[in-house]
Amino acid sequence: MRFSTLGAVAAAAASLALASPALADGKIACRGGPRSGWTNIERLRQKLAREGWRIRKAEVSRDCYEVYGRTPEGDNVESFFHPVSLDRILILKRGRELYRAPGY
Amino acid sequence: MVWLLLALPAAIMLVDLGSGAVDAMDLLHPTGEWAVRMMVVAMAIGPLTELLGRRAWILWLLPRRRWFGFAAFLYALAHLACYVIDMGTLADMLAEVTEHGIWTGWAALLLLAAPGLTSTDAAMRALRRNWKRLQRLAYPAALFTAAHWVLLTWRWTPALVHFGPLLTLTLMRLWSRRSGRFWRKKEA
Repeated sequence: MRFSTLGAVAAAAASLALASPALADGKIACRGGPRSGWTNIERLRQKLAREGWRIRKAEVSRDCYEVYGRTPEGDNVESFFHPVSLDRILILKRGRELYRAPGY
Repeated sequence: MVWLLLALPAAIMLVDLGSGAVDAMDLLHPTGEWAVRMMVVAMAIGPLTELLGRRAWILWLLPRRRWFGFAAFLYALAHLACYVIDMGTLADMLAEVTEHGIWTGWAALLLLAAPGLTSTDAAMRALRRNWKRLQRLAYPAALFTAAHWVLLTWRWTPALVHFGPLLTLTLMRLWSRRSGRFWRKKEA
Protein backbone atom coordinates (compact mmCIF):
# COMPACT_ATOMS: atom_id res chain seq x y z
CA MET A 1 0.00 0.00 0.00
CA ARG A 2 2.71 2.42 0.99
CA PHE A 3 4.91 1.39 -1.86
CA SER A 4 2.02 1.79 -4.27
CA THR A 5 1.64 5.41 -3.13
CA LEU A 6 5.28 5.96 -3.91
CA GLY A 7 4.77 4.22 -7.22
CA ALA A 8 1.83 6.45 -8.06
CA VAL A 9 3.84 9.57 -7.32
CA ALA A 10 6.74 8.30 -9.40
CA ALA A 11 4.41 7.38 -12.26
CA ALA A 12 2.75 10.79 -12.12
CA ALA A 13 6.12 12.50 -12.21
CA ALA A 14 7.32 10.31 -15.07
CA SER A 15 4.18 10.85 -17.13
CA LEU A 16 4.41 14.58 -16.55
CA ALA A 17 7.95 14.51 -17.93
CA LEU A 18 7.01 12.33 -20.90
CA ALA A 19 3.68 13.95 -21.70
CA SER A 20 5.24 17.25 -22.63
CA PRO A 21 7.65 16.48 -25.46
CA ALA A 22 6.58 19.66 -27.20
CA LEU A 23 7.79 21.63 -24.22
CA ALA A 24 10.66 19.30 -23.47
CA ASP A 25 13.18 21.80 -24.60
CA GLY A 26 11.35 25.11 -24.95
CA LYS A 27 13.69 26.26 -27.65
CA ILE A 28 13.27 25.96 -31.36
CA ALA A 29 14.63 24.42 -34.55
CA CYS A 30 15.35 27.16 -37.07
CA ARG A 31 15.99 24.67 -39.89
CA GLY A 32 19.09 26.62 -40.83
CA GLY A 33 20.65 23.98 -43.08
CA PRO A 34 24.39 23.33 -43.31
CA ARG A 35 26.59 25.85 -41.58
CA SER A 36 28.62 26.47 -44.70
CA GLY A 37 25.62 28.29 -46.12
CA TRP A 38 25.02 30.51 -43.09
CA THR A 39 25.25 34.28 -43.21
CA ASN A 40 27.95 35.75 -40.99
CA ILE A 41 26.62 36.50 -37.50
CA GLU A 42 28.15 39.98 -37.72
CA ARG A 43 25.56 40.79 -40.39
CA LEU A 44 22.84 39.95 -37.89
CA ARG A 45 24.48 42.16 -35.27
CA GLN A 46 24.61 45.06 -37.71
CA LYS A 47 21.04 44.52 -38.87
CA LEU A 48 19.67 44.46 -35.35
CA ALA A 49 21.75 47.46 -34.28
CA ARG A 50 20.31 49.42 -37.21
CA GLU A 51 16.81 48.44 -36.11
CA GLY A 52 17.52 49.81 -32.64
CA TRP A 53 18.36 46.65 -30.71
CA ARG A 54 20.84 46.70 -27.85
CA ILE A 55 22.69 43.41 -28.11
CA ARG A 56 24.20 41.81 -25.05
CA LYS A 57 25.18 38.51 -26.58
CA ALA A 58 24.90 36.88 -30.00
CA GLU A 59 25.85 33.25 -30.49
CA VAL A 60 25.11 30.04 -32.34
CA SER A 61 22.48 27.86 -30.69
CA ARG A 62 22.15 24.60 -32.58
CA ASP A 63 20.76 25.59 -36.00
CA CYS A 64 19.82 29.13 -34.94
CA TYR A 65 21.48 32.38 -34.19
CA GLU A 66 20.51 33.29 -30.66
CA VAL A 67 20.59 36.88 -29.46
CA TYR A 68 20.17 38.18 -25.93
CA GLY A 69 19.37 41.83 -25.79
CA ARG A 70 16.86 44.61 -25.73
CA THR A 71 14.40 45.20 -28.53
CA PRO A 72 13.65 48.69 -29.90
CA GLU A 73 10.43 48.41 -27.87
CA GLY A 74 12.49 48.04 -24.69
CA ASP A 75 11.85 44.38 -23.91
CA ASN A 76 14.70 42.28 -22.58
CA VAL A 77 14.53 39.18 -24.72
CA GLU A 78 16.10 35.94 -25.75
CA SER A 79 15.58 35.68 -29.50
CA PHE A 80 16.27 33.24 -32.31
CA PHE A 81 17.04 34.13 -35.90
CA HIS A 82 17.32 32.11 -39.07
CA PRO A 83 21.05 31.84 -39.76
CA VAL A 84 20.66 32.23 -43.52
CA SER A 85 17.88 34.77 -44.03
CA LEU A 86 18.45 36.42 -40.60
CA ASP A 87 14.66 36.55 -40.21
CA ARG A 88 13.38 36.45 -36.66
CA ILE A 89 11.99 33.06 -35.71
CA LEU A 90 11.20 33.26 -31.99
CA ILE A 91 11.33 36.02 -29.41
CA LEU A 92 10.95 35.21 -25.73
CA LYS A 93 10.65 37.67 -22.90
CA ARG A 94 11.55 35.83 -19.71
CA GLY A 95 9.95 32.68 -21.01
CA ARG A 96 6.88 34.39 -22.45
CA GLU A 97 6.52 34.21 -26.19
CA LEU A 98 6.38 37.64 -27.84
CA TYR A 99 6.74 36.44 -31.39
CA ARG A 100 6.91 33.20 -33.31
CA ALA A 101 7.35 33.08 -37.06
CA PRO A 102 4.50 31.35 -38.93
CA GLY A 103 5.26 27.66 -39.47
CA TYR A 104 7.76 27.37 -36.60
CA MET B 1 34.36 22.15 7.15
CA VAL B 2 31.01 21.57 5.48
CA TRP B 3 30.77 25.19 4.46
CA LEU B 4 34.02 24.80 2.53
CA LEU B 5 32.43 22.06 0.46
CA LEU B 6 29.27 24.10 -0.03
CA ALA B 7 31.28 27.12 -1.16
CA LEU B 8 33.21 25.11 -3.76
CA PRO B 9 30.78 25.71 -6.67
CA ALA B 10 30.79 29.42 -5.84
CA ALA B 11 34.59 29.47 -5.78
CA ILE B 12 34.74 27.85 -9.23
CA MET B 13 32.23 30.36 -10.59
CA LEU B 14 34.20 33.26 -9.11
CA VAL B 15 37.43 32.01 -10.69
CA ASP B 16 35.65 31.74 -14.06
CA LEU B 17 34.25 35.21 -13.62
CA GLY B 18 37.64 36.62 -12.66
CA SER B 19 39.35 35.08 -15.65
CA GLY B 20 36.73 36.52 -17.96
CA ALA B 21 35.65 33.08 -19.17
CA VAL B 22 32.07 33.85 -18.15
CA ASP B 23 30.02 36.94 -17.36
CA ALA B 24 27.12 37.59 -15.01
CA MET B 25 24.60 36.45 -17.60
CA ASP B 26 26.35 33.09 -17.95
CA LEU B 27 26.24 32.63 -14.18
CA LEU B 28 22.50 33.25 -13.88
CA HIS B 29 21.63 29.65 -14.50
CA PRO B 30 24.35 27.94 -12.41
CA THR B 31 23.83 30.17 -9.36
CA GLY B 32 20.11 29.47 -9.48
CA GLU B 33 20.63 25.77 -9.93
CA TRP B 34 23.02 25.55 -6.98
CA ALA B 35 20.56 27.46 -4.83
CA VAL B 36 17.97 24.83 -5.71
CA ARG B 37 20.35 21.95 -4.96
CA MET B 38 21.20 23.32 -1.52
CA MET B 39 17.53 23.95 -0.85
CA VAL B 40 16.53 20.43 -1.84
CA VAL B 41 19.18 18.82 0.38
CA ALA B 42 18.28 21.05 3.34
CA MET B 43 14.60 20.27 2.96
CA ALA B 44 15.01 16.55 2.28
CA ILE B 45 16.89 15.81 5.50
CA GLY B 46 13.74 16.25 7.63
CA PRO B 47 11.55 13.77 5.77
CA LEU B 48 14.48 11.34 5.38
CA THR B 49 14.98 11.30 9.13
CA GLU B 50 11.34 10.54 9.69
CA LEU B 51 11.05 7.94 6.97
CA LEU B 52 14.33 6.07 7.39
CA GLY B 53 15.05 6.52 11.05
CA ARG B 54 18.30 7.46 12.68
CA ARG B 55 20.86 6.10 10.28
CA ALA B 56 24.45 7.17 10.71
CA TRP B 57 24.62 9.36 7.59
CA ILE B 58 21.36 11.07 8.49
CA LEU B 59 22.62 11.74 12.00
CA TRP B 60 25.67 13.31 10.42
CA LEU B 61 23.56 15.48 8.10
CA LEU B 62 20.93 16.53 10.61
CA PRO B 63 22.97 19.09 12.60
CA ARG B 64 24.43 20.41 9.33
CA ARG B 65 21.06 21.02 7.77
CA ARG B 66 21.24 24.71 8.59
CA TRP B 67 24.42 25.03 6.54
CA PHE B 68 22.63 23.75 3.46
CA GLY B 69 19.67 26.04 4.02
CA PHE B 70 21.89 29.05 4.53
CA ALA B 71 23.96 28.10 1.48
CA ALA B 72 20.73 27.98 -0.54
CA PHE B 73 19.98 31.54 0.57
CA LEU B 74 23.49 32.73 -0.29
CA TYR B 75 23.39 31.12 -3.75
CA ALA B 76 20.00 32.75 -4.27
CA LEU B 77 21.57 36.10 -3.37
CA ALA B 78 24.41 35.41 -5.83
CA HIS B 79 21.72 34.60 -8.40
CA LEU B 80 20.11 37.98 -7.67
CA ALA B 81 23.48 39.72 -7.91
CA CYS B 82 24.04 38.21 -11.37
CA TYR B 83 20.58 39.37 -12.40
CA VAL B 84 21.21 42.91 -11.15
CA ILE B 85 24.58 43.12 -12.91
CA ASP B 86 23.13 41.66 -16.07
CA MET B 87 20.14 44.02 -16.14
CA GLY B 88 22.19 47.08 -15.19
CA THR B 89 19.42 49.45 -14.17
CA LEU B 90 16.57 49.40 -11.70
CA ALA B 91 14.24 50.69 -14.41
CA ASP B 92 14.99 47.63 -16.56
CA MET B 93 14.31 45.32 -13.64
CA LEU B 94 11.05 47.03 -12.75
CA ALA B 95 9.96 46.92 -16.37
CA GLU B 96 9.80 43.12 -16.29
CA VAL B 97 8.83 42.50 -12.68
CA THR B 98 5.29 41.57 -13.72
CA GLU B 99 6.49 38.74 -15.97
CA HIS B 100 5.46 35.43 -14.42
CA GLY B 101 8.96 34.04 -14.85
CA ILE B 102 10.37 36.99 -12.89
CA TRP B 103 8.00 37.79 -10.03
CA THR B 104 7.98 34.14 -9.00
CA GLY B 105 11.75 34.43 -8.50
CA TRP B 106 11.38 37.57 -6.43
CA ALA B 107 8.68 35.92 -4.34
CA ALA B 108 10.88 32.89 -3.68
CA LEU B 109 13.82 35.06 -2.64
CA LEU B 110 11.72 37.25 -0.36
CA LEU B 111 10.27 34.15 1.31
CA LEU B 112 13.78 32.79 1.82
CA ALA B 113 15.00 36.06 3.30
CA ALA B 114 13.26 35.61 6.66
CA PRO B 115 14.56 32.10 7.40
CA GLY B 116 17.87 32.97 5.74
CA LEU B 117 18.53 36.04 7.86
CA THR B 118 17.58 34.25 11.08
CA SER B 119 20.04 31.40 10.57
CA THR B 120 22.28 32.35 13.48
CA ASP B 121 22.29 30.58 16.84
CA ALA B 122 21.28 33.82 18.52
CA ALA B 123 18.24 34.25 16.29
CA MET B 124 17.35 30.61 16.83
CA ARG B 125 17.38 31.10 20.61
CA ALA B 126 15.53 34.39 20.48
CA LEU B 127 12.75 33.11 18.26
CA ARG B 128 12.30 29.79 20.07
CA ARG B 129 9.34 27.93 18.62
CA ASN B 130 8.72 30.64 16.08
CA TRP B 131 12.08 29.86 14.51
CA LYS B 132 10.77 26.57 13.21
CA ARG B 133 7.64 28.28 11.90
CA LEU B 134 9.77 30.81 10.09
CA GLN B 135 11.86 28.02 8.53
CA ARG B 136 8.70 26.56 7.05
CA LEU B 137 8.56 29.51 4.66
CA ALA B 138 11.01 27.36 2.68
CA TYR B 139 8.04 25.32 1.43
CA PRO B 140 6.23 28.14 -0.42
CA ALA B 141 9.68 29.39 -1.46
CA ALA B 142 10.37 26.00 -3.05
CA LEU B 143 7.05 26.13 -4.93
CA PHE B 144 7.79 29.60 -6.29
CA THR B 145 11.32 28.53 -7.19
CA ALA B 146 10.04 25.58 -9.19
CA ALA B 147 7.54 27.84 -10.97
CA HIS B 148 10.27 30.41 -11.64
CA TRP B 149 12.44 27.75 -13.25
CA VAL B 150 9.78 26.20 -15.43
CA LEU B 151 8.22 29.49 -16.52
CA LEU B 152 11.59 30.86 -17.63
CA THR B 153 12.93 27.85 -19.45
CA TRP B 154 9.92 25.67 -20.28
CA ARG B 155 12.14 22.72 -19.59
CA TRP B 156 10.42 20.28 -17.30
CA THR B 157 13.11 17.69 -16.93
CA PRO B 158 15.80 19.63 -15.02
CA ALA B 159 13.26 21.13 -12.63
CA LEU B 160 11.69 17.72 -12.11
CA VAL B 161 15.04 16.05 -11.49
CA HIS B 162 15.69 18.53 -8.69
CA PHE B 163 12.29 19.02 -7.14
CA GLY B 164 10.83 15.58 -7.88
CA PRO B 165 12.70 13.78 -5.08
CA LEU B 166 11.83 16.53 -2.59
CA LEU B 167 8.18 16.45 -3.59
CA THR B 168 8.10 12.67 -3.33
CA LEU B 169 9.76 12.68 0.10
CA THR B 170 7.48 15.43 1.39
CA LEU B 171 4.37 13.60 0.20
CA MET B 172 5.62 10.34 1.70
CA ARG B 173 6.25 12.08 5.00
CA LEU B 174 2.76 13.58 5.03
CA TRP B 175 1.27 10.23 4.15
CA SER B 176 3.22 8.36 6.80
CA ARG B 177 2.18 10.93 9.41
CA ARG B 178 -1.44 10.63 8.43
CA SER B 179 -1.39 6.87 8.67
CA GLY B 180 0.31 7.20 12.05
CA ARG B 181 3.12 4.82 11.30
CA PHE B 182 6.52 5.18 9.81
CA TRP B 183 7.83 3.11 6.97
CA ARG B 184 10.69 1.71 8.91
CA LYS B 185 8.37 0.10 11.42
CA LYS B 186 6.59 -1.76 8.69
CA GLU B 187 9.82 -2.73 7.01
CA ALA B 188 11.32 -4.08 10.22
